[in-house]
Amino acid sequence: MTRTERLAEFHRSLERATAEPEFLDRFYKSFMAISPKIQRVFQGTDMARLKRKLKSSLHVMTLAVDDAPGADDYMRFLGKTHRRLNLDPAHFDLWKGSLLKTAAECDPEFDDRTQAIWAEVIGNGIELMRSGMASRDSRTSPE
Amino acid sequence: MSELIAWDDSLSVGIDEIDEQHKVLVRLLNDLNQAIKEHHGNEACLAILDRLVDYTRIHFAVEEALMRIFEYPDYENHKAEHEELVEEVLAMRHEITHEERRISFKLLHFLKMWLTQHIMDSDKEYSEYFLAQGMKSKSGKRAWFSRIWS
Repeated sequence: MTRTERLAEFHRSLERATAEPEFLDRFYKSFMAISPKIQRVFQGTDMARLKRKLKSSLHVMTLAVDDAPGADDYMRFLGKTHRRLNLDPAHFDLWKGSLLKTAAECDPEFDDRTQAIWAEVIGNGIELMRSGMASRDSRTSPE
Repeated sequence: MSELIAWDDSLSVGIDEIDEQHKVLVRLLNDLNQAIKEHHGNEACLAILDRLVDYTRIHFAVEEALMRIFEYPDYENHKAEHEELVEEVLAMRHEITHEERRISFKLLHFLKMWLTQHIMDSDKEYSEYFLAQGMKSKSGKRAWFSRIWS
């Protein structure tokens, strides 16, 4: 399968999964159920806003796999903005796990190939975010 | 020469004044793209970047003022997004000048990605709220910002 075909399959699977109105709620319920520490990260969060942001991030993750200019740097920047949440880098893998699990539950055509494609797209995205979160800029802003 | 960003209706937030300000941002990004492509030199490119940063800060201040006036519920988060972007761009600029690097398409494409995502996600959210609060979508007067930034 070419990259273009894999991304097209990802988009189709995402469309099928999100046709289930409870998809995002189920994902966050699954993720937060992992540990109290993860639950605390979301305390006081506007979940409606977060769900909108997640949809947008998934879109940029597909752009990043497709080598769209700027997408990699945007995902690393997203990782940097997550620093203030004091996340454990392992949380990203748990996040990915919950997302794939929810996709499998909500996409009626989810199979091993779909799983591998999701893992590729999401895995690439979280690696970029992790590298952004971990980067320690030696530069300082002049302001 | 092809533009970095071509304005189309998908970038409109439905409020003329804000769209006009966003168009100036798009124009400045396209100017920077052209300057890099045509090898105008780092100094000239940094000058355009500085104009972009200055204009961006003014535009953000306008948006944030409107959010306060209309008591937009997501004001703090939106403001944080603005601050994060300015901080990132200033840090990139600092890196360019202090490590004697050239402005590259890397910075430009990041800015394009950030701006288009921000308008589509965050700015359209506030514009829906403002319009629901009674803000008029059409303005009878031409925005003065575009005149002084041309």
